Amino acid sequence: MSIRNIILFVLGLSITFIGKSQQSGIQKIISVDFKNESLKGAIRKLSKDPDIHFSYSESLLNLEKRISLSLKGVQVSQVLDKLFNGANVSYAEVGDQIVLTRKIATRKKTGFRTLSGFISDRETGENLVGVSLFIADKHLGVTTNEYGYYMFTLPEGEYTVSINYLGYKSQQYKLLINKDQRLDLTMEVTEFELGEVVIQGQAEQDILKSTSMGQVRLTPKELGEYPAFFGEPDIVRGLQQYAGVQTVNEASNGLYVRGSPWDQTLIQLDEATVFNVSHMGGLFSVFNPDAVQNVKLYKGSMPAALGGRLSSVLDIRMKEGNKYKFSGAGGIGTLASRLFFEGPIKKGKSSFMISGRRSYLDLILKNINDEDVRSNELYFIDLNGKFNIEVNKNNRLFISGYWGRDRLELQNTFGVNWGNKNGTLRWNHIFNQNLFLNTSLLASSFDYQYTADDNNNNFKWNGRFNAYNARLDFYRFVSPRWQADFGYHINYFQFFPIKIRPLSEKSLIDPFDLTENNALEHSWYLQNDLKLSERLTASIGLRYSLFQNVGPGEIFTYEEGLPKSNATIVDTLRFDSWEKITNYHGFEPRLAINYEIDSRHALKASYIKTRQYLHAATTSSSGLPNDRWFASNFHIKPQIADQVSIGVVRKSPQKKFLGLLEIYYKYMQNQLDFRLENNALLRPNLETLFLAGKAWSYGVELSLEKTIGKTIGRLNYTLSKSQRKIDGINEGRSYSPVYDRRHDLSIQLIHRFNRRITLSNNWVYVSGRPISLPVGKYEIQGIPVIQYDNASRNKDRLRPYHRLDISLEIKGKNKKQRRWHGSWNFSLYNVYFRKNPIGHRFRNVINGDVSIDEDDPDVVVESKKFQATEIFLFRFVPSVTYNFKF
Amino acid sequence: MKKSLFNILLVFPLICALYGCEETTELKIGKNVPVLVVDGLITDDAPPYFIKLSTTTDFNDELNGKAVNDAQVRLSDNTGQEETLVLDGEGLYKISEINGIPGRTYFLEINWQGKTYTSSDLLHPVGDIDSLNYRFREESIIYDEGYFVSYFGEKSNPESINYYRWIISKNNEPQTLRSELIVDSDEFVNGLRGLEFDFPFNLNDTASVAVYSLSKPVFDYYSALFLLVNNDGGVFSVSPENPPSNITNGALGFFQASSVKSDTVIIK
Repeated sequence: MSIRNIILFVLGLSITFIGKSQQSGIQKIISVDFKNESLKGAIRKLSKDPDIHFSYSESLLNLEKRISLSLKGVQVSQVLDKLFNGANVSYAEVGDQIVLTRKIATRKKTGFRTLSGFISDRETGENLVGVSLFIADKHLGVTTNEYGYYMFTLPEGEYTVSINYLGYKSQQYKLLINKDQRLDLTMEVTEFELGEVVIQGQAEQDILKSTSMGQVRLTPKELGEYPAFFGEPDIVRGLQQYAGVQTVNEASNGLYVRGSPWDQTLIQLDEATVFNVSHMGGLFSVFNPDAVQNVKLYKGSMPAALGGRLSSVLDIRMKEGNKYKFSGAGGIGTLASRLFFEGPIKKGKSSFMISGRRSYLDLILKNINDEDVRSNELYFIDLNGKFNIEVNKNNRLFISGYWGRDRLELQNTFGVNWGNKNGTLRWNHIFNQNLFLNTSLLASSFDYQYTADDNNNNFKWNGRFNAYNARLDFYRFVSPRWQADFGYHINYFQFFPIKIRPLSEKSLIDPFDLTENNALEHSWYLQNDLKLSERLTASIGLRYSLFQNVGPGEIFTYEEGLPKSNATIVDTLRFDSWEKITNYHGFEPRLAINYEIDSRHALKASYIKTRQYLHAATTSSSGLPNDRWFASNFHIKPQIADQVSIGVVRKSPQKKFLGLLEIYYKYMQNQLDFRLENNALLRPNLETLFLAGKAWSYGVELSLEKTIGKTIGRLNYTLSKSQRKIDGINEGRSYSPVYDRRHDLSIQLIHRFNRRITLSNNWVYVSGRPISLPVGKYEIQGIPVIQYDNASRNKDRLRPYHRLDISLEIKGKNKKQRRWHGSWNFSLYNVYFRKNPIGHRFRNVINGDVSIDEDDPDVVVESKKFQATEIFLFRFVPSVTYNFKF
Repeated sequence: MKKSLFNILLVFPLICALYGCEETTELKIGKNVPVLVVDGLITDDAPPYFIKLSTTTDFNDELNGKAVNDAQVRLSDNTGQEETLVLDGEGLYKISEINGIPGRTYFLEINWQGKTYTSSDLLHPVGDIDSLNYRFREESIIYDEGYFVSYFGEKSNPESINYYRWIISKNNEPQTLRSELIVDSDEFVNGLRGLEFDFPFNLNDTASVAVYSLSKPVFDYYSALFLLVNNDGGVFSVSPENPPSNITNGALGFFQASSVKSDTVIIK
């Protein structure tokens, strides 16, 4: 075994197992005074310091050289640099030791070597996504990919590598790289200590160097520290606090990103598409924070691998489970309870995670002594599970799944239930040091069902949307300055919009089916991440998508030059299974650059083109599940968007604050708006209900983070405008969609009094939603009717929305021996009782009392006045949650 | 079903306590330019029928419309019959000669303040009423307590999609409240066998049901009107607009030609 190999062996081993935080022995400040001392003698003297440990073999090194050196108040490393200057010795810090090796002669032609491996959590063994590795000597940085794997190609030599990750301790390693090497690293979670760095926002180095723009990263741990609605931390609600993410009202969990409707955001859970994220009609989202490891929202530039929707991608990854020990967590809340369990299947090699959640409003109702109340059902359930198997060093398998259901049933006469089922099978394979492959097979399904069983009015109504997906994603490191990712994705969509069946012979309702709608979507992509100079990085991607509408199906043709309607149908074309109906395709270029001005400032710019072939028609009036998804066809063209953005990052001198300013402009084509008609959901030919036009939006987003100290927090502000212009709507003039909010401000603060008590708040201010106010009124058949100006759609606004939430967390005493850790969370939503309007109604108010139903035949009418009313939700919601870990 | 699901959710006591509520509000809405509103009907029942003309008012006005008494109104059909209507009451123009006949198209022409407004509607036949039934239901979250009448009738034309409006009368008083705008097509039903009206009658009430045939444009008008007057103010309600009128030149309202049939049952 050559010396080099022995050293590498030592390096490899010890680095893998001993991470070292920044304040290491090599940085210790010392003073030395050597007078004609041999190197050997100098090292022995230095070793007398209890914090300095050397590891070397005298027989391999020539330490006879004599020197004189006198230094005061310098770091150990500086002393060593001077000592070994000219000597054939080099040093590296490994764990708490300083390893001395024979210096490798600098060759004229140095070869490139690759360093690669997984980075995982030291406690749980879970792989960490998006950890940034940074080599200061070379000014190079990479991050771990979606599977926690990194690759790094470097000329042979010695390097200092630092690794940083949100919520974890930063670490530094000195590495000698002279052959291709697999280096799996682990990181440790930061526990809160007063005065220390608590949370590092977007990982320290990362944001100044990476080309990523318009990204939001969130961890459930972080989310849990802020006040939550009903005390239930919710990922979608959490994201709504960030700049550039709008909502239409507080009972809705749609994500309206940068002036786009909710269906322009692709939501993935472990890569499988989620079509509907609603629990309880939109009050909560289907993602149980216990089961989630990592959340990333791409609202601006996104890598070429991602696409399929116009505006953004929300990528949610489930936890993998602890590989070393069994543990659990849970919570008992006002509205729902959670339980989570994880542990190894084979220690250090494979693990599982299982998590469940159920709301229990109905269980409370069951105890109410009123048949009317008791006989109703209202609940939601979530189950998440994941298995993670390390087959060998180069192969890993993951199996994960989600199942969720909402059910509302009223006295056995009316019922609605809906839910998602998702499954993921994933295989990570490492071909060699430079090539990593991920293969995924995904399936997801959303379905809903209405049942009515009321005398002759009885039926069962189903809708189902399925997506099957296969992916090949390659990650290749070409050179230290060039990383190339490429791959192929195929999606198969199967939409069964509506199937209605009578429940009995005497039912009024006819059986009814809408023809299924099937489509294939292929995409190929190549993404290049390039380091163009010390300060300039670029990421250049190209995606090509091909969309095929396939049979079985029906396409109607209409008389040319006339509006499409049932009356103008000329012919019906029928297609067999897999017969090609329509093709759409196109390139989607992606470009992002980052220029690091200095260690505190960076400039960013990006351009992105996206195409969307699937669309949703929302017809429900209260977040019910009957959104109808449909694919582009002969009549409905794909949506296309172009977006440019520029941004600047600034850190304050002490790095206490991180500021990010972004400006964007987005232009969207083939935007659809609904022409309302009765039974719109039941139309086979949706093209007769849609009008297409264009939309644009632009805005400025500012986010400010304070990540150090007893009080931390963040501020997000968006100033934006979005408009649509569609022939046939608003008399062809541009108008504001409901999610056009001029100002959107959110301030969130956390103050830690001590280890046990934390107080946090959340204040939001948002401009009122656009609405159409009446211009007058009239009467038809004795019914008062509001008169609108058909050319002033959404010209007015509701009053501004603002709200303050407060939450107090009290942790139990932290006893080392005790496994059980509990904490109480008390939260208040809408502390100052603000009446935030969600809309207006116009109706006859009887006897001055809005609660009287105008049509109630038993009411004695004393006065009747046609009036405007305001409707508001959630005046004040207190909640208590007990959370635990074991 | 009368109550929308949104309202049903509000009934749950816990949610109701947390959901805020509804309060009257004063909106700052300025002066309005009055627009002509037409509310016209001709049927195959014996005349007279009335065309009601009014204008819109300011939103904060006491009155929900002002009668128009200075218009010239003419009615004609596709066989050449013609009649000039005579003002008979506030804003009411009386049709006394022309009797509606299924299969004919009726033309309305209004001249008012120098502008001409026209409209036409085809009078469709309407299917027979076979019988009316009723049953008692206890008070529940979804329904009020009372006797509920159901309708058994024939489709107007078994070969095509037909449109209907039903008007319920209680003790000979027509119930034309906003939630009783009962219009439907027979597109998704296998017949009109047991259509139940969500209106509670009491014991010994006389319950009558009249069924009107509608043309597609008038049905579309009623559908939009129903959505508009029952708009729950929520975000997902489609942006409100004036219902699509079948009258030209920017007038609001509509002109309807219908066949009508009715039946009565006494709740015992």
